[in-house]
Amino acid sequence: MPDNLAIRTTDLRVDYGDVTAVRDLSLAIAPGEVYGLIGPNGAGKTSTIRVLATLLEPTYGEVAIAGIDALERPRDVHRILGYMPDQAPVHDDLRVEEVLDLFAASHGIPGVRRRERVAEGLRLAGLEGKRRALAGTLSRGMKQRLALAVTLLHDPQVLLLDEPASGLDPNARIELRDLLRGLGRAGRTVLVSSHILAELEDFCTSLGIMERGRMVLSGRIDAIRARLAPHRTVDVALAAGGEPVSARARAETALARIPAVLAVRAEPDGRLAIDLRGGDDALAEILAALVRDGLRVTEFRERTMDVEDIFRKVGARGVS
Amino acid sequence: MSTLAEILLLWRNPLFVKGVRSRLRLRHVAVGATLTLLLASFLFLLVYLTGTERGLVDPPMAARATLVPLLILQGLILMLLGTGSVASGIAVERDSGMLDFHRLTPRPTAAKIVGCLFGLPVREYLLFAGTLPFVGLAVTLGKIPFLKVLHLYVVFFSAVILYHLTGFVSGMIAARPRRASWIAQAAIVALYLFLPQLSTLGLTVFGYLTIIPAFRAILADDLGLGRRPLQRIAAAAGLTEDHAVPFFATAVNPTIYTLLLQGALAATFFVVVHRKWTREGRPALSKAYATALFAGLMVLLAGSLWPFLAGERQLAVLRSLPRALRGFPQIQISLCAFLVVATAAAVLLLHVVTPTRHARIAGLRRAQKRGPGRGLPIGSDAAPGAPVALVLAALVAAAYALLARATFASGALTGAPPAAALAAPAALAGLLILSAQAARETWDPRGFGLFLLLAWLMPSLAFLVASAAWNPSRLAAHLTIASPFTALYFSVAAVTGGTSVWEGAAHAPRLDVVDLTGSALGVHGLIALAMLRLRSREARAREAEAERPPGRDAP
Repeated sequence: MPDNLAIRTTDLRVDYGDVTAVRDLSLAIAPGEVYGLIGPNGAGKTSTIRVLATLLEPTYGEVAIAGIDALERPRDVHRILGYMPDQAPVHDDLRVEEVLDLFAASHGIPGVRRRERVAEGLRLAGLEGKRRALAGTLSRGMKQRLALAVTLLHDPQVLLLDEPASGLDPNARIELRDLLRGLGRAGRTVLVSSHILAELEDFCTSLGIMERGRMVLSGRIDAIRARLAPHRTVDVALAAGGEPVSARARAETALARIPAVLAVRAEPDGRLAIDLRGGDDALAEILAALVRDGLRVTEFRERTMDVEDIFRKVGARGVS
Repeated sequence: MSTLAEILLLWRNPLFVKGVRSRLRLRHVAVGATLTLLLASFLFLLVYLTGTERGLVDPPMAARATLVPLLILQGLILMLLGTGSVASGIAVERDSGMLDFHRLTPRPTAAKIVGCLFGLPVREYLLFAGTLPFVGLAVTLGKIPFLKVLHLYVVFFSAVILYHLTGFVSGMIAARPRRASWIAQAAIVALYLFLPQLSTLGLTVFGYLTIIPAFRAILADDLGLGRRPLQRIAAAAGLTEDHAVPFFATAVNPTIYTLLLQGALAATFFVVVHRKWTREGRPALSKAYATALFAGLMVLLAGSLWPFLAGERQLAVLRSLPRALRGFPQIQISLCAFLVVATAAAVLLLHVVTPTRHARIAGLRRAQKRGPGRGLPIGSDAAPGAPVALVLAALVAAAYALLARATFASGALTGAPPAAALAAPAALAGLLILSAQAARETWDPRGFGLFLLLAWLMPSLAFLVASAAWNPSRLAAHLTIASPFTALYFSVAAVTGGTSVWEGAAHAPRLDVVDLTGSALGVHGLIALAMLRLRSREARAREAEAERPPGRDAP
């Protein structure tokens, strides 16, 4: 297996007593990917992340972070890894800037640079105004942001975020999304777990769906979409006036002449769903045919498969 | 920065700095510091002025006398409060998940441990510093040689670090972290209050877990303390007039002996913390370390008992025996105490190194995954504990043989018992160790605890009830062969020339100890056989379980 991967697991298994949390999981995440690990509670996401973070010894299996064997050389992994657990703790009895300084020092960031990193961390967490406040007095969302800033202090190559948005208000979630997008663009590899699909929708480049300890589906989102939906679908709304049935019949007649069209279906809300194959030329040809036939098109939109659709397609359960 | 520098340069250790920042805020320190200054000044003035103003002693002597209450205050601050701070502090970090954050920083684990060890009790160190001016006054006015005070504080801080490491271990191993403080207190009572009492039975090594013998050797004479308060422990500790500690045929400086003993225990606790810090689910000790530790303990126990059993100091032990035991021959008591302590220590270490069912199955699966011919190494954490049990039993037998030989060579006992009787105590200890290990491996910690309660403690309690109700009786004697403690005593009595149980008690029935030893060997042999069969069955079940595909679904 190539070792230029950011994260690689081979046949990873984690048992808790008689319960198997992760079953022979093989995972390959390339550098720069923002990988969303989704699945219901108890799917094995947190166990997988804790093994990757070297905090949990697997029953068996291999784990490599940026080509470094995480089971044999955990200290080397710690230099390039950032990990934020669900409901990340902070030292309640330290001031906000002291928390950041503690971890900057713990990562061996020297004097002047440390002060810069602490200032950056405060800005990132949006806590410049609270730098002298005791961390214990912060709200849950603020603590979560502070923990994220702590995780990013040493500029890790690989980030493991377990349910990072839990406890964040909508604004903070938007900021988190932008931050993760930025990290992906900067070439950082991010593995982020969630059981809230909408959280991952906007910024993940790859997805992994876990259920009952198994990886049900994994890969780049566009490749998954292509795999799960072998054809494209366009939703078309026609303007009211005349008999809707006759409009649909006219549309079907007009489209029957186009070889790219596979099927035309009437949706319960009165729209037409047109399944087609081919590229954007086929889309343009369909629209032109409808207009040419005198049909008044008020909406013409390609249906895209969101994470929820993917989830539904693969039959996973228990997520919101 | 080199690894050593990261460990030693405390002021550059982030976790120490964290302790300073969080625990030395003015509002937290103010009350404690004021109270400490008040108490220290009160104690100093009370003792000093009582001595001088009433003309009881001259001023230098009065000043020297203030050192004892000040040392007690310092002990309370650092040993009691400081240990609590370490135990609860580390437990809170573990419980909150903060420890995981620290695990993921790339500093050496030893440096992180040292940072916590001195950072968590930093407030107590500051309060301790508040008492130092009064100690300085006592030393100056009392004209106590500075080197002696320095000597004393080296031993004092060795004990403090040992206590703090005890708290650290409690915080790291407590199944429920919030209970860590309670566990630390129990460990301190067991290690530093209960175990030192065994020194009165001839196991003088345990007396040096406290700083009292070293304190006596260094300063007691200067402080004008009478011999009486320390006499018993001193005698039991084998302190001669020059305070040297008898060890085998030689004598060791008490400070060196104390530092070595406390250092060895502190090193063991450090290893436990290091292993748990590196990976939480690991056993506290590796099999190799546990075996080496036990071998060291055997050397220390044998070295402590040797001078007494070889005949040179038997009277010292006899004088030091608790009143209730004075009717029993001292050699029997001392040898029995050795066997009981050795067996208990072996069982405790085997409990630590024997993998749980799940850890064992996980290890078997790991080995299967590696492929044929690449099984688990015998010393790995997931390997069975039976080979270690055999080694520990052999070490007990070797130490016992050494002591028995010394006893007979001394001429304190006349005649030689038959070889079978001579070997009986070691055989009995071996059977107890093997059956306990098999029980631990078969039933995991809870079932093992129940086994110890039913098979070891219950017969002992039944013996006590029978003895109390019917005085020394045949029923009590027969009940007690099931108890490991008294069974070991009979076996030793049979070797050392006793002919009947309760030789020292009036109206005691004449029961032949050789017969009782035989019965005890039979009973414990059967228990061991049964346990070994159960363990074999369980081992086969685990192998079958390991070969099954992944288990039930996660909840």
